[in-house]
Amino acid sequence: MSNEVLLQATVQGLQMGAIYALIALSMTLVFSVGGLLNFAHGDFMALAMYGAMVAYVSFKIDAYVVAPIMFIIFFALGVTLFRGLVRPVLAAGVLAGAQLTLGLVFVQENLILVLFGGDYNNVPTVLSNRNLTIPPLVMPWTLIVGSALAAALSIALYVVLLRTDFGRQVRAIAQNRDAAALMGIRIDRIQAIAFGVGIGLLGFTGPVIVAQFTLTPTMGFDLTLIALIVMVIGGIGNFLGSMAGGLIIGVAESLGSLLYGGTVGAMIPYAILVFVLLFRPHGLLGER
Amino acid sequence: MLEVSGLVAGYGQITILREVELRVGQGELVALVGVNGAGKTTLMKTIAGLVSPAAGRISFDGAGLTGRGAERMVQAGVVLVPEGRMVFPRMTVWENLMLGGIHPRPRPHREATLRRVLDLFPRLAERREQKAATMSGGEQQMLAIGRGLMAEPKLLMLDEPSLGLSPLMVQETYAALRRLNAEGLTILLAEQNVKLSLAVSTRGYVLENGCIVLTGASGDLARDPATRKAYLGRL
Amino acid sequence: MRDKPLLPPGAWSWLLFLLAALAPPLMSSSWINIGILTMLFVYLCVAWNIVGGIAGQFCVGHSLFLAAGAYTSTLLAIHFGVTPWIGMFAGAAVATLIGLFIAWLSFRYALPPLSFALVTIALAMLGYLAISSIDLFGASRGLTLPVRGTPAAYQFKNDVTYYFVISAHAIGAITLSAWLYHTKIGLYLRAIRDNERAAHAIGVPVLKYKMLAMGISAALTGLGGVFYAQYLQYVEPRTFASINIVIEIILFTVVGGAGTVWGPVVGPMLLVPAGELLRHELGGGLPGAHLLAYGLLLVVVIRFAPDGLLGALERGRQAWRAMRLAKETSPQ
Repeated sequence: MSNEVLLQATVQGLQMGAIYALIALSMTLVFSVGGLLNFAHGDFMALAMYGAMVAYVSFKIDAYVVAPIMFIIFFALGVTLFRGLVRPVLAAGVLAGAQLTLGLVFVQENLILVLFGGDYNNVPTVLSNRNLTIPPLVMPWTLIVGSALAAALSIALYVVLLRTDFGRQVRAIAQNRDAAALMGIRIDRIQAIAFGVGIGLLGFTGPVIVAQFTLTPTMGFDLTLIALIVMVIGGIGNFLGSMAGGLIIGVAESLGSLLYGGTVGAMIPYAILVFVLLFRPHGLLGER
Repeated sequence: MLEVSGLVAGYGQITILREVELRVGQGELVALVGVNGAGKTTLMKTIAGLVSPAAGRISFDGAGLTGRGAERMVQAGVVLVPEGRMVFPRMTVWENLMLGGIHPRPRPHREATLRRVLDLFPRLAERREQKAATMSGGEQQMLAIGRGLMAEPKLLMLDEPSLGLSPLMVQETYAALRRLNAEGLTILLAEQNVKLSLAVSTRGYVLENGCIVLTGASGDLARDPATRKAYLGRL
Repeated sequence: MRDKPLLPPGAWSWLLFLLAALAPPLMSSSWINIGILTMLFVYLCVAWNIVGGIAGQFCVGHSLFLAAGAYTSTLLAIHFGVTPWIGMFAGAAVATLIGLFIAWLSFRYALPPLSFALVTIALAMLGYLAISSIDLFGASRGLTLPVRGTPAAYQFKNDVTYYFVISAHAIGAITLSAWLYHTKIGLYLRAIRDNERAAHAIGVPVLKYKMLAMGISAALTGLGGVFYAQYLQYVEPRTFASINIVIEIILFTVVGGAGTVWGPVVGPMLLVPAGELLRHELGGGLPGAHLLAYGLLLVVVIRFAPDGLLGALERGRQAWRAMRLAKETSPQ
């Protein structure tokens, strides 16, 4: 195995890792503030990707243009779902919430199936099939742009959480809900917004990286599992951990596929998850 | 300022408070004493809006605020420093205090209030960037009180501030409370430590099994053998 | 999660269920197939409920047990001519071993519930990926059973026979579940479910009982896998080893009322026929439409009855009782 090929796989892994990191971050947001373990998380992103497909096929709008629109739509969707569905169900416990999201997985995957059929689809964008060549690396522009945007959003999210009043309220609710209530913080409102942002980010990220994926109805659940793995490895609630975890998983998957084949490559993240859960349950970097 | 009448509250099927009557006038420092399990925390939480009462009335400054929720109470100026302090462990002293003033009412004067709080508690000023979880019990208590003050309360309620504190810290904390009351802050203080709370307050209530069994001037209560009897409960 | 049986001595439930179990001669052939599927899910849900509902350990790895049973007996039949009637015990044994291993691993390392669920998901996915790529297991194509057509080889010409076999399984499982529930074992499991630390403090051997629950659940599920293989006459990873079937089992059980004896019966008895009916009505034109309606139905039920239908029924009963009491005690 030549060094160039290894390097290529590593770089690709890092780029995919940045994307995984953002999905995991949005999932952490939804979990630590909203209290919801969202099995349907990846499906939202899949939905957004199919939306990008519709925009391209029916309206000839490029995915990159659609992304901000999708953010707004999905933000609204997130807030609505939180108020109408998630909050009432969470009153019955975290497990009930998780089961609700399993039901949502059903709904979303089959909605896609009904609307678009089970065939595989691809959505080209203006940047498709164009590569940036920095010898010895050949990198598709779609992946470069996608991962760069994902990384930028991750950092932006991190800054918001750390430095803004809104972010502090989010963290306060995650650390001690009753105390946050005693500060006069409007818990429901912040939770709804955080939820909306979490889902909205998926709405934005989907179109941005759509050219990198082959669209299938069940792709969402696979993404959810990857995000879960990243979240756990990084330490639940630990934002820096999720970012690091995303990169680790991305590289592990990429190198694993290269060195041992596709199936084993797909197995590696799960193996890492089991290992971490058993031996380092607080994540590689500790919980926050 | 604060009028509570006929208050019935609890958790789920379990009733803790039975027809509680309580009054706190402007500028007073009122003590609420009772053993562990008498219902002090439940009463504080219900007034603060964390628990919704099953029956009864809570009014503040003439406005009826029964069951309106914590945000409304903070809006009205009722602020609770909860049992166990409940500081945000992974945030710094500064962040905790800033969060204390995050409600729209105190928010515009937040910077000024922060300076006053840090003047009142110099130890907090020293530890501005320190994470709350790494501080001692006494320091956390000061932080919790400071955080409560950031909300510019008209009535400050404290639930067992002396719990887990060293005697020296207890003295410091109570000195601060005395000072705040002298400057005009109305305080409702729930404590297991009868001697301490009755010494610093003007009036008191004795809570036993969710009912107010005694009330009066603190000096009278301190001397009254009935207090000790109610306090020790049925052993 | 409620832990009071809904009907006083359970007699009514048994009556109704046995009626359903003995109904086939009255049913048309398409209904019998729906019935078989329903009974299978009743069986699998009751099995899952033992560890997931009564013991409260949210295990999402039951696809491993299903596949273990199905693949073991099938491989034995293909390569050694062993009849599945014997093979099923081997299958159950393999499933039990896997289950005990998972249980030991998780509980020894004291995984909190969320981590436990995630570990089981991860192991299930690993199992699925492994089976899909190993040729011995037929990889993603799967394996076809050798056609013998004789009852001795666990193959029946008449679907009604399959129905009776799985109903017998279900009756056995419900009996076991009810017995467990009302004895010391069930008490311990529910104590562990409701407050593990307290149970440990009063001397309940937590690890042992968790492993017991998991072992029983795994064994039963393994047997169910064998039946399913014999009914379909083939095994393949997508049906037997994927997480989908576990999610269905869990959802049916939750909708019915996890942690009760009859919850995992009621859930599938309502939802499986509903799903199949929806498929007949909608599935023809649009693939997945029935599953979509299904999912919406499930979401609505979870939204308005988070502790399952039995739980909602129980709440309704209590409210009705309270109302009657108020009427009786109010002055006229």
